[in-house]
Amino acid sequence: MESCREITKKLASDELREASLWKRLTVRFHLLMCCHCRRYAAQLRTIGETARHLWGPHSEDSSTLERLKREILGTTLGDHEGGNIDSK
Amino acid sequence: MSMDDPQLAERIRASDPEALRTVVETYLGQIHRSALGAGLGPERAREVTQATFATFLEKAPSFEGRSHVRTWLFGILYHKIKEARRGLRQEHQMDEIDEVVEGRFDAKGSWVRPPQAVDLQLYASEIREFFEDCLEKVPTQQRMAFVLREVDELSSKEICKILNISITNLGVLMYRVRNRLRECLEAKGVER
Repeated sequence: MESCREITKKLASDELREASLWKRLTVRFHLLMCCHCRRYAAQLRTIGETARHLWGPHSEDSSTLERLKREILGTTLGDHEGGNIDSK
Repeated sequence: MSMDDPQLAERIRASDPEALRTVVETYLGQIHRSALGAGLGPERAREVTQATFATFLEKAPSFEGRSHVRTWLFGILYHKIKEARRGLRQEHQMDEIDEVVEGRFDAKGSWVRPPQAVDLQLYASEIREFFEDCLEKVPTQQRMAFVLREVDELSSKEICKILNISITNLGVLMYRVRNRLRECLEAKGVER
């Protein structure tokens, strides 16, 4: 049987993402039996969710993006429709 | 126009304004958020985003289309971020977090210092600060791997291409950065 150290290593290093069903099941089974590893796994999930919350799509500020878009397209592509920043 | 359009690479190479504009519009937000996630402040994140697309537009004629245009853009971004975060320590064979995690287990690999409960909900308003504090000095490669995986949700294969590392390396980076964040959050949570 795999130790907790091995299980946490698999969880943290994303080894399971592309692992076989059997491997994933053995980890699942371990988590069922072990409250410490279960807590560890849940905390890693929370960390991922928090990162998505901080920097995910809905965190975008549309005015900053608009400005960036104008600057990028305006200066390099001579895009008049997008607004020419020189004329401001 | 779709970003999976087989003709896209050709149109980018020809600097077709319509194609270039679509690429900018499709990926601007993602690139900008990733720059923020990689630890650049608002000002520098904007600069780096601009610089990334400037390089993209300039190099468009040499785009071979062997990888997806997104992979290419993120590769440019990664180089710019490395420049912007220059002076930080590089990724090493050894990382102190490895020992910290190792110290939580006994010789047989069972927990001796198991994870403590931390209620992140309690710290919702400070969570950005926690993350920033904890990741501030992390090598850029680790931090980028984390953002590309957790925020951009790219595949391992694509992340390896962008960071120019092997899948084994990626596993090590993810292991380090996640454990680092977990240790930080636990320390902050238990402190109170």
